[in-house]
Amino acid sequence: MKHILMIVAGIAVYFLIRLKKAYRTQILLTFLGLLACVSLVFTCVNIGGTVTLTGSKNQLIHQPSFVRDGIYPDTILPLMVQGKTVYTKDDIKQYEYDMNDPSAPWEDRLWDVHYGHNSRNLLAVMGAKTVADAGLNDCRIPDEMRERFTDLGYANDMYRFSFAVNDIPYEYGNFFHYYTIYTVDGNPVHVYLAAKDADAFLPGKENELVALWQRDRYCEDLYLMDRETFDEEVGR
Amino acid sequence: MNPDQLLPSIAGAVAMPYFFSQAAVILCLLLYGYVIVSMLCARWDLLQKILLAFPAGLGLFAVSSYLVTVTGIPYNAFSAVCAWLVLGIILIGVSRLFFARPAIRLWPGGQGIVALVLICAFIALACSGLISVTVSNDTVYNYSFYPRAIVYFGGLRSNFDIFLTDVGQGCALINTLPFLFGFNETFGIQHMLTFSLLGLFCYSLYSETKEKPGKVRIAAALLGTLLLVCTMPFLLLSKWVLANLYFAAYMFFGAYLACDLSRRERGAGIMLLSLVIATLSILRIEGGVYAALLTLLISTLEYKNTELAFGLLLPVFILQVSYFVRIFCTMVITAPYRFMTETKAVLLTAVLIAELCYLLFIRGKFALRVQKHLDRWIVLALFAVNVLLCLRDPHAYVENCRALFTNVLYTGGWSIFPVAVAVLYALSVNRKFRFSFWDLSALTYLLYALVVCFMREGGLREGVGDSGNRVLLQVVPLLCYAALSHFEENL
Repeated sequence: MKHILMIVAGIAVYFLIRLKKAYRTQILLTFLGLLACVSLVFTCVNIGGTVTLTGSKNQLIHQPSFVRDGIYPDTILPLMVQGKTVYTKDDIKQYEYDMNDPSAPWEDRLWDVHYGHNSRNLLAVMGAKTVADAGLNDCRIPDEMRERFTDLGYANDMYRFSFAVNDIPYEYGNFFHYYTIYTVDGNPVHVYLAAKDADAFLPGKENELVALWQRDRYCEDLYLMDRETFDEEVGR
Repeated sequence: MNPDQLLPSIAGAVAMPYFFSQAAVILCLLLYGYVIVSMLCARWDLLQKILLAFPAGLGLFAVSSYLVTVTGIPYNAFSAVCAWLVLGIILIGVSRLFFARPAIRLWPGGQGIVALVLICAFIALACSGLISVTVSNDTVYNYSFYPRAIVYFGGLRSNFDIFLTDVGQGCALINTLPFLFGFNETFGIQHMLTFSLLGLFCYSLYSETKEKPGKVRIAAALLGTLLLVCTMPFLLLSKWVLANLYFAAYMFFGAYLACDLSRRERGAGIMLLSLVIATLSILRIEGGVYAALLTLLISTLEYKNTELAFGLLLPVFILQVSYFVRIFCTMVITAPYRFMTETKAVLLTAVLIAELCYLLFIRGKFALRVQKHLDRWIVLALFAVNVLLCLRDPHAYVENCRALFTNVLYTGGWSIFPVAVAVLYALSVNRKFRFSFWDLSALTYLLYALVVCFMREGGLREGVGDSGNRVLLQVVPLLCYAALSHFEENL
């Protein structure tokens, strides 16, 4: 309908400039102005339904709607870990698989490679000073404690692209997440936070954090906490 | 711990320093760009120099960083800044060596103070966050996570896999600026480029209507620019934090400079055009193809063979081939799906060599009758390529065309723009109507976009976010300008 209206308006202008030749410039300029106004109206009405627009006064790529929607925790994580010392598990296992070999047991064992290796690398790329600590390998977050963690959001995409920061040949991250997480299990991986110190995750502070990856349901979530929380509630 | 409190406190701690860092980076890019433009195009209007300053500074950064990463020099703030300064000095040195040396006046006196105040105001607006943006999955990973990884590892590495073959490296390198200089996003840089694009669009419309009365010229230029700003496809393009706005802007700058320089004594101005086309070629992974096409289109204008071959195409050839050598000869890429493959790289290299040979040995020497109507032959050749692709896989081609038309008319966020352009053209058709360089650029781009969309796996899909639709959106400033330039001839 809007297209037909535009064509009708064009035809009307065509005849108008034929009838009022002396006012040709004024008519054409007015038409141009009206065209801009009509475009603006259509744009204002439709653009919100076409894409999600967000303000960016925070100066961050992390948008306020990401918290509400529980997506892209990796856009805010760098600010939380940058410059901080983050202790991680030291449980990475190295496997050499040929992705073209259908008998390779990658589906089962890649969990260990994937989360251990990639979580630590991701934290390092985000600016954390990571320290692998074998003493954390057997640590598990108690069930009652898990509920007190804050969910920062869905992190499948973060792990999907983690192939770029590990040293494993082949694009395991992409492959693993497309075929195991997205299509086989279809389960979301999440990033969780907890801290006794309210300022533990603020940028600029050089405190210590602990990162644990833990398989609770079907896949391994990443739990990030300050040292105090870990010492008092997890590492007892 | 409540994220509703935690996240604002994080943002509050960094917002102000990030704002100033980004604003300072934009100002530096603009000032160095202004020095380059002033040295290369000393006789141009002050306004023209200022409008081209930011694109020149940013383009110089993209190209110099690209050279740093492709040659394997460790990529960090120091090497990036050094390469940026050195490339600018080389450009100026070459221009002083091979072209006339007009007197250069960098500081334009009282006007300069006014200009600087206005520039600072626009930079503040661009970085303020008052202008909304759209952040998607590609923004977060291709243009934030990947640039962060480039800075962390100090360059390119095999494990970047699909990022190397599918992401525009020039745009990714522009997006390393936050991680090199201490801020978090590039929204301000993108908005500043949009301002430059709109300013040049308005200036160019104003310059095209020299024979009209002053008030009519001003009104026509402002209303034309307003039309562009108000159209939905342009707003989508400018708000989406991806490579598309950068590509569309440099397409427009390239076409504008090609037209403008063809009508005046060029001198070292050709080097500015060279920089713009070189930047364009690296902004998207298929940018080399468009740079080759644009150079061929420019060859329909009054340019010397050596200017086209050595000034415009050779830099594109060097940038493209060095990148292909870097990723395909020195790395092992194992991505399950790739846009840029070895076959396509060889094909593009062959196209660039063939075009270089044409410009050096055939243009103006043989088959002059054919060359007289080169514009028509280019359009016909692109039609022929489309027909060949259609014959190769009719089903996929028809599906692509169907998705294209559905997107343009209903689902692709084009709103009334296609019909508005058609009406503007219809009102402009008369005896004086001549098919212009802008028309040629817009028409060939549409045919080129179909070919490019066909080259990717899976073809076009319906929906605003489809990359094929976004590639098409890039034509909006060119097409809008082409239609408006005819419309304003008839005022």
